[in-house]
Amino acid sequence: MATIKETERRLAVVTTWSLLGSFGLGCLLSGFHSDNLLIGLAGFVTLMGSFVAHIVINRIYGGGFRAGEIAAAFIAFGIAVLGFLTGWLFDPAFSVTDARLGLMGFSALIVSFLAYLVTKHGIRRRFSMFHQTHNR
Amino acid sequence: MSGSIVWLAAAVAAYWAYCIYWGVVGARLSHSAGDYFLADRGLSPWIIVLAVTGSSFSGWVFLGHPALIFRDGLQFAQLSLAAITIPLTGVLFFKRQWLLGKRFGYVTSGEMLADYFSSPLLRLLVMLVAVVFSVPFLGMQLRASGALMQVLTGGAVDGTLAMWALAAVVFLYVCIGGLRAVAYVGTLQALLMAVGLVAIGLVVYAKIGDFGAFNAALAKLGAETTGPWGGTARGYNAYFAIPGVIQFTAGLGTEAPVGGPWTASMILTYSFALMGIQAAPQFSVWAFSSKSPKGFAPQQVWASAAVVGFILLFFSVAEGMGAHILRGGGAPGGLEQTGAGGLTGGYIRMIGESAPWFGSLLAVAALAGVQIITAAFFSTGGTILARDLYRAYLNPAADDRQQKLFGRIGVGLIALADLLTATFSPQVETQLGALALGFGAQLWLALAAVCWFPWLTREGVVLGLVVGLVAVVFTEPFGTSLAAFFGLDLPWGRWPWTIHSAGWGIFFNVAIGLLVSVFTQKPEDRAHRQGFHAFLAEHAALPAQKRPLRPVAWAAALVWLFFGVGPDLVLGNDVFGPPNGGIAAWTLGIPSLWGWQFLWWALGVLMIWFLAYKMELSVFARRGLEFYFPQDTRPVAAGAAAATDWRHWFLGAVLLGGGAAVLHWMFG
Repeated sequence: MATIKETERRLAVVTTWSLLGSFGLGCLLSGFHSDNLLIGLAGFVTLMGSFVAHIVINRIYGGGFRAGEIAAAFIAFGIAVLGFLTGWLFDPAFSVTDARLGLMGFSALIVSFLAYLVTKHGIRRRFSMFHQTHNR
Repeated sequence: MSGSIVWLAAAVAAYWAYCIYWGVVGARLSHSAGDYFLADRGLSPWIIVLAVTGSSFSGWVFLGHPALIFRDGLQFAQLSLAAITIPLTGVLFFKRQWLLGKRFGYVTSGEMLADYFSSPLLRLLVMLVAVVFSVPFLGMQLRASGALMQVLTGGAVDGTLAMWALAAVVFLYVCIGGLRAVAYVGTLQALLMAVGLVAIGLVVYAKIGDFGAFNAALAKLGAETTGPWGGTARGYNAYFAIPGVIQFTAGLGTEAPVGGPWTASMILTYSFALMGIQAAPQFSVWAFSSKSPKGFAPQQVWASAAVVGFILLFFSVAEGMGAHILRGGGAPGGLEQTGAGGLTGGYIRMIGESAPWFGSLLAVAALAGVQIITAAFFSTGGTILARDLYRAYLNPAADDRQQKLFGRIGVGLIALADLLTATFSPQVETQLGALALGFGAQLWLALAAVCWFPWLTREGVVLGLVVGLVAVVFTEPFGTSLAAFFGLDLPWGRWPWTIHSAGWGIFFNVAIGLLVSVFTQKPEDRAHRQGFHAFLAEHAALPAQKRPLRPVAWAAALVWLFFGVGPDLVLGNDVFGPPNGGIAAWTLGIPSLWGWQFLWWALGVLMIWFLAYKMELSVFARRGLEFYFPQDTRPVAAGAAAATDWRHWFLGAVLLGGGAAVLHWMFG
């Protein structure tokens, strides 16, 4: 049975992502739909804000990202990238602005993720993790 | 089905799933009655900050406030300073109630007051106030949410059907999850409400141009004397001026005040009414459920006074006044409506036409605003029925399982009563619902007695409360109808002398309470009450080195009340330039009254900060204070005897008979 503390941590995470995630996603969709770079980037910035808030929550409650959260994040990112690539390749209405928006936004998400890893684990340890896996 | 409706349905479905999920989580964590009613007195400070703020402001702020600014102008916008006055009640009473709850195990304010005053009658009166809040007041909120859905779907969804469906979801997660579920869902609801208000305000500013263009348009409006209230006695557009300190008119419906109803006296007394929200029995439950007082000061100072105050002044005013400007520019028809949810619903539809996802999120934000208070009052209303009726009078030996069951039955009864009155008797419900805020304000004296003034006696407080409630009734339309039923034609209408019914109630309440207390002092009763105050003095008294600050605190509060919401706020009409002088005459580049509101908002935040933090009314500044107190395990003294005391049966029969008469009158 989950403890109260763990439940409240989950509440904080779900509330943050529900609020910021929904507005961020909406801005993203609006940005792509109306070819508006600014609105689309605002969506990505909002999503990054959710990520930062999640890190802060982890810090307050102790512990890192849970396995389910990591899995959900990778799945959502994968679906988003797939949707972006599919639209780029097959949608005749897909404009240069859309491509620019997607590339900038997804790059920013990847950079922020890498920045988090570096900050948390340090550069050497981050690369060491790959070396250890490779040498096994 | 249009794209907007599909988005709306998806957003509402996701929101419902979220609510029910946390209802299930709450149910899994509710083992005892204490878990169910009070979340085991373990709600974390950040949850208290969000849930209490959200339920203090709720649908009134999201739907009603901008609509009334649209109708009445900046004179109503002065009530944005309710963001200061509402938490003032919390500053005075929350921490001390929390302490008493920890020490004596109180679950409801009825238990606390009954124990403190040794008065079962007071418990019943508190229950009456709670019922008025829980039934007609909430019924109005539910009706507003249904009406909003009808507006947003362009009539595709019937308002009554939407109301029942929305209420069913709230009932479900509240009934199964208890207060913990209410608090957990309330965190997102409060944030959605805040973000929604900001978002709509930003859209309004963007549509008008920018802040400068908004004020230029206001200057043009200020030069005319249009609007339902025309001009004030000084010839200013009533949209931009307070129509005097007081007007000795007979009251709305009998004699209309000149230039609008929001005189300084009305604003002050309406502020009293709004302060009644946090004095309501339901809010004491929030105080008792908090793990520690750490959340109280941030809730009162930063969340309510600072953040909500700024949002109301900057964004809600834009929403309300902006509708005049946008209408002139040929805005969509939705902005013509000003009924409950009409104006905000119109904005959300307008936004949804170009960005359906955005419109659907704002719709959910509006729903969240209404439902946060609905859920809180469903839950706490059920708690009050379970503890103050079932356990106190019907089954004093009720165990946890029975109390939880009756609590859930109580939630169901309240929800059903709300829906039936909202569906079949909306006019009566509106009349009764209008009593809620005034009724809540009447509990101020009782709470002041428990927390601060041991010399107020049981007889004084009970009589004062009864007289106060009667005064509220007879200065509202319900009282006029009641008098007419008995063949009496009252010479006054609603809110005579531009004084809100809460103000009339408090005047008589305090006068009678003080007078009767002088003549009913009894040493043994005083000794009993003094025990509570000795405990409070031991744990919550101001340190000796800060006592010289007391006159400063009093002065700050009184000056703020006087100038911010009291008689001298009429100075704000033109101290920063006459409203009809054009933008060049406006010292601050904004209407004078609006500038006055910003000034006293900022000073109000400072005042609340001073009281809550510096004067330690909401904090424990001393380190090392233990938060665990030995529980007083004596049984509720009245409980065992209550069931066999003929007086209680008689009172119960009177209440049942009265309730049956009211139902017969409402439904025929």
